[in-house]
Amino acid sequence: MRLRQRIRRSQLYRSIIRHPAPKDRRTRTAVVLTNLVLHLHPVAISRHAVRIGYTWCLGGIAFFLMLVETVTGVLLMLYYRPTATHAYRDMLELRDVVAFGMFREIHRWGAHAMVIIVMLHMLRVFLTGSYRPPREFNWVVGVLLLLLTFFLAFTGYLLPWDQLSMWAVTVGTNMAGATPFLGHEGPGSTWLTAGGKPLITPHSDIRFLLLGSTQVTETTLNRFYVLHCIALPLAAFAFCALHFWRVRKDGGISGPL
Amino acid sequence: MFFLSSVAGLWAFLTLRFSIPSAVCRDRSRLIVGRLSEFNTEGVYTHLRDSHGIWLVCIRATGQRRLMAYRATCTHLGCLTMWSQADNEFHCPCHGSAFDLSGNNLRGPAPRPLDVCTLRILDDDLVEVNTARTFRRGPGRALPPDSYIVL
Ligand code: HEM
Ligand code: FES
Repeated sequence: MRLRQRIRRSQLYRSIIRHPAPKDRRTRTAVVLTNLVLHLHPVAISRHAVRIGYTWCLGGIAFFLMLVETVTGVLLMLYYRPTATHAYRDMLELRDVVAFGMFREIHRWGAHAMVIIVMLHMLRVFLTGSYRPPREFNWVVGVLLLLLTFFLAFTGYLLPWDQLSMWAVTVGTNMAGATPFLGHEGPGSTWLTAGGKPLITPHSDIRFLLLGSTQVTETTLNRFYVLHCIALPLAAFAFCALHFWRVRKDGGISGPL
Repeated sequence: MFFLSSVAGLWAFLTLRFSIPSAVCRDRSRLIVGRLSEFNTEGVYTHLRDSHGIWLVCIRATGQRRLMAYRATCTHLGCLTMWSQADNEFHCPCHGSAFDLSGNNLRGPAPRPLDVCTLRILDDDLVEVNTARTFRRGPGRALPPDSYIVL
C-alpha cells in the first residue's frame, strides 16, 4: 500500500488525475465531474433511468457498436485498398491470410448488428413516448443518426467489390435515380430546366453525384470508401455528441409512462 | 448572421459542385457486331452480354425475321439479366423479373420490356449497334424502324 500512496502523491500522477480517491459521496461526485469519460454521465440520475427494462440500453449498445466498428475499421484500413484491381483480393486476403482475420468478420457482423440495434432503439423511444416535448429535437437528431447508420452500412457494402456489392449498389443508386425532382427518373425531374434544357439528366442528377459516374465504377468505389471511412463517421460522432448532450439537457432519460 | 449564412451557402455550393465530375470516360457506344449472315438462325446471341451488356436476338415478328439488340439491363433497377436456354426466357438475378424472347416483361417487378438499341447495316453487310441510342418500349409505343433489321 505504501507504493500506491507514493504513486498517488507523485507529481506525474497528480498532473494527470486531479480528483481525490472516491471514498464518500462528495469525492465520488468530484471524480465524475473531473474525469473526461465519466462526466458524459450525470453525477446523479433518477432510479428508473437505470432500469434495464425501460431503455434496454439499446442506445448504449448502438454507441458501443459504433466504437467497435471504428476500432476494427481502422485495422481493416491497414490492408484494404479501394481500387478495382485490389479491393476484392484485399478483402479475401483479410479473411484468409491476415492473422486474426476475424476483425473483418467482427466489422461485418457489427455493422449488421448496429443497423438492427439502432432500429430497436428507435422503437423503444417510440413505445415509451420519449419523442414528446421536450425531446422532439432529440428525436430529429436520432433520425439523422438513423440515416447516417444506413448510409454507413450502404457505403460499406460496396467495398468488398464482389457481385453482391456491385449489384446491390447498382439497385440502390438506381432507386436514388427515382428521387422526386433530383433524380432523372423521378417525378418532377423534367420541370427543372435552364434555358430550355433539362437540368436533371443521367449526367447531373443525384444518382450521378453518388456514383461519380453513370454506372458503378472505380470512381464510385473511391467515393464510397471516403464517405465510409471519413465523412460519415465524423458526422455520426458529431451527431452522437449532440444526441447525448441533449439527453442530459432534456432532463435525462424520460420517466416511465 | 448574414455574413455567416452567405459563407455557409457558398461553401455548400462549392463542395456540391466539386463533387459532381465534369467529365466521365465511357466506352465507345458504336460497335460492329459482325456480318448479317452470322445471325440467320432464330434465337439469342449471348456473346456481347458480358462485354457490352447487350443481347442480340434473331426473332420472328409480324411475319418477318428481324435482328434486334436489347439492352441486357433489367428495366426494374438495372441488374444484368441472364439468358436461360431451358426456359427460353431472360431472368434477372436481383428480384426475379423474367422477360420472353421478344423482351416483354413476363413476371416480377420489371415495369416494361427490355430497352432496345438502334442498329444499322454498313457496307459489306456489317452490323453496327449503337448502345447509347436506346428506345424505351411501352404500351402504344411502336418500334422505330432503326431498332431492327429485317433479315
Ligand atoms: C447511431 C445511432 C444512435 C445512438 C448511438 C443513440 C444513442 C442514444 C443513447 C446512449 C441514449 C440514452 C438512452 C438509451 O440508451 O436508450 C439515447 C436516447 C435517445 N435517443 Fe438515441 N441513439 C441513436 C439513434 C436514435 C434514433 C434513430 C432515434 C429516433 C429517431 C433516437 C432518439 C432518441 C431519443 C428521443 C432519446 C431520449 C430517450 C429518453 O429520454 O427516454 N436515437 N440515444
Ligand atoms: S433489377 Fe431486375 S428484378 Fe430488380
